[in-house]
Amino acid sequence: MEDYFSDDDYYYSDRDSLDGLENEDSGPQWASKGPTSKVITKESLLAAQREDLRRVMELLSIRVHHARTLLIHYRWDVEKLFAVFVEKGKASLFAEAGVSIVEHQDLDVRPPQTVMCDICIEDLPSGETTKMDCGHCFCNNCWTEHFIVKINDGQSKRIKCMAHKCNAICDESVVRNLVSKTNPDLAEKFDRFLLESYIEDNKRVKWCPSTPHCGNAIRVEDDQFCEVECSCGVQFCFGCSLEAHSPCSCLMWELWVKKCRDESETVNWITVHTKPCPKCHKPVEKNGGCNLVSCICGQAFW
Amino acid sequence: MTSSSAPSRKALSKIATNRLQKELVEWQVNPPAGFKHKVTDNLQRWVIEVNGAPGTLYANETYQLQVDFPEHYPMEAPQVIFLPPAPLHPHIYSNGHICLDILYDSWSPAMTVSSICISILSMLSSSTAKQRPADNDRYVKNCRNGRSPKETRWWFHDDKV
Repeated sequence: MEDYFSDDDYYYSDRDSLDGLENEDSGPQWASKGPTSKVITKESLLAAQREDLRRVMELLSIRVHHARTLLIHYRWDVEKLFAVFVEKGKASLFAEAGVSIVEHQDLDVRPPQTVMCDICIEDLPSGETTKMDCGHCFCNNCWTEHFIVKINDGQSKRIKCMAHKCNAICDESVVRNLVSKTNPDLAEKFDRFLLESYIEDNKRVKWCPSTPHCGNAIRVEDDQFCEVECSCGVQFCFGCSLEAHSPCSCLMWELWVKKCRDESETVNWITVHTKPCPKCHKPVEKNGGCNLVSCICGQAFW
Repeated sequence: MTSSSAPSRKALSKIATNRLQKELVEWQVNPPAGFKHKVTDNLQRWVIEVNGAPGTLYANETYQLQVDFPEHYPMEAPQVIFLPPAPLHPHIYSNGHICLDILYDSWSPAMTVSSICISILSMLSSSTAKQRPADNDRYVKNCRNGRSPKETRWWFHDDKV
């Protein structure tokens, strides 16, 4: 936590020179002169994510896995999530993201001794089954197999319930507990996917493009088209993750980089296939004949 | 090369084997109307005969479905195709691939071979024209070399048929 807010983690990014085109009425985000980007280190990633989770959990009085499901659905945009909440209400917000909070009345009803799992079609003691928040109950073996298949398939962030047409996202703690019993490595992978979702699904956060990777990510506050500097020293454009290139636009810069790459191919070719003329220094290619070549400047050489 | 495009064959998991044995028993007791399972000793590939429902465009016609089960069935969807000749239908390609959401994105482990069969028969029965999908030639050309329909990114745009 302390890492996240320490001064060391604040980096001020220069406004690019397009700033000159902006004037006073261009919105409050241009007026603030505070820090516009900060570095999220490997250590502070968890804290940064928890902060957003906490805000959502407090506002909606929900548990952490529901908050995470909502935030993944809304790409970690807390303001957008709150706006949808105010505009469309809780029910619609939850339904869209696959969060189902069903009031279960079966608390005082004793659960039956055995439950039939509709996946493996076996009768099992109810202690070997798990009921998800959506109310669907299947046996632990089937749930585990389902989670393993989905995690291996790269779908950790949105593992749906097994019931047909059920849109609910499975409780991450259930996934973690069941998978770690048989596959602790995979459970770790699952946790890593959830953690990194904060960077990969978040339009305000990007991995630092350094190679070898420094492990850091950068979060910007309001301007997503600024240039930022990572604590590893790499400066890059937040829009395209290429090196800082203001006042050139991202598109132009990309074309330029491509052109330079092509040009270097040309340079390679020239070094391999030509010899500079001793008089005018132009590269000359011998296209056949004897070893005596003549340059367009008139100079002949071997 | 075979036209039946065997998916990468990994032996069925224990869960898959148990579940398929149960489905087979249930099928023998209570088969879906219009379908006949052709008995083989291969649990991983079922061949099922489909009879077009009376009063529909496919009445008195018989087709064959081939169902291949992956290692992690039913957590992974089976691969279902028509063996040639495939019925003429706006959602069935001439190579036997079927454009039906429950076979791909909307598959759920709670579904069974029997429920797939019922969906396919209902898809056939509701057809009003015996014709191939508009993009049949392009699609079939792209699928040469025995590509599985499960590799296709399907676009389910029509829920009428």
